[in-house]
Amino acid sequence: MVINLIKKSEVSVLELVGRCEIQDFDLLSQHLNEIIDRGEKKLVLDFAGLNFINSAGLRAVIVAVQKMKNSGGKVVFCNLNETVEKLFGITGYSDLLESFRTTEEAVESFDN
Amino acid sequence: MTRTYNISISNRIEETPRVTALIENEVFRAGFPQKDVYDILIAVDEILSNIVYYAYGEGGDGRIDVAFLIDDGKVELEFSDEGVEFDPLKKKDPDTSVPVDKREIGGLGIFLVKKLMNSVEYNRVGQKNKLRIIKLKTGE
Repeated sequence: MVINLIKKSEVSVLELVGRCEIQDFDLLSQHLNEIIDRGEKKLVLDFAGLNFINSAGLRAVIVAVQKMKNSGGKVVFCNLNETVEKLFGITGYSDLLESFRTTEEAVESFDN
Repeated sequence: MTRTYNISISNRIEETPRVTALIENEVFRAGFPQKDVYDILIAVDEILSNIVYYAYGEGGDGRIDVAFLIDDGKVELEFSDEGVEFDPLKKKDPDTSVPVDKREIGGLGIFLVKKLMNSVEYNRVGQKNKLRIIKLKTGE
């Protein structure tokens, strides 16, 4: 998996590209922790290029959602494919998921 | 037409892509839809993770044997290791109705495997753990 961080004014967009598998957990956790530790409050997780994600990756993402919430910030998601959407449904994490169809919609959601 | 495959790796994370790459290529070549291929790769990732991290104790060396069969309608995979006896199916399913921060850690991986595959079966045979999964091809 490749991870790209893009800044759109106050919003950070983290793009996950490829597959989040056994060997990718550390990289993903590291990126998420760095963003949270910097005190950022607005994060978009862009899954446009993400084929699938394993349980460890899902857990890392959900932990980030909660940490962000506890520090007064918010994480939103966009561009989930059928498989990733299904995985969030199976694990019961869907309720925590504020999800948008496009990156623009996700970024603009912070304006409200 | 039925094709069978065998591949063995040592219990190291960096070895697992050899297994997933072979399975992906062959399942895709057999005409399974992309979403089935992803479901299978997720299941394989979860099962190999469990074996790599837990079967042989920390730092312990061991082998993982993967045998699989592909025909027109299904993929059957069997994972064998000689690690400590462990039946992942005995693990209680996570209660997905409980708020995430109050859930018990663990068990999510095998839960995904059960949900994504059509059948999951565990057997202890001699000194081996054998986990067998079946995925039926989804209709177009």
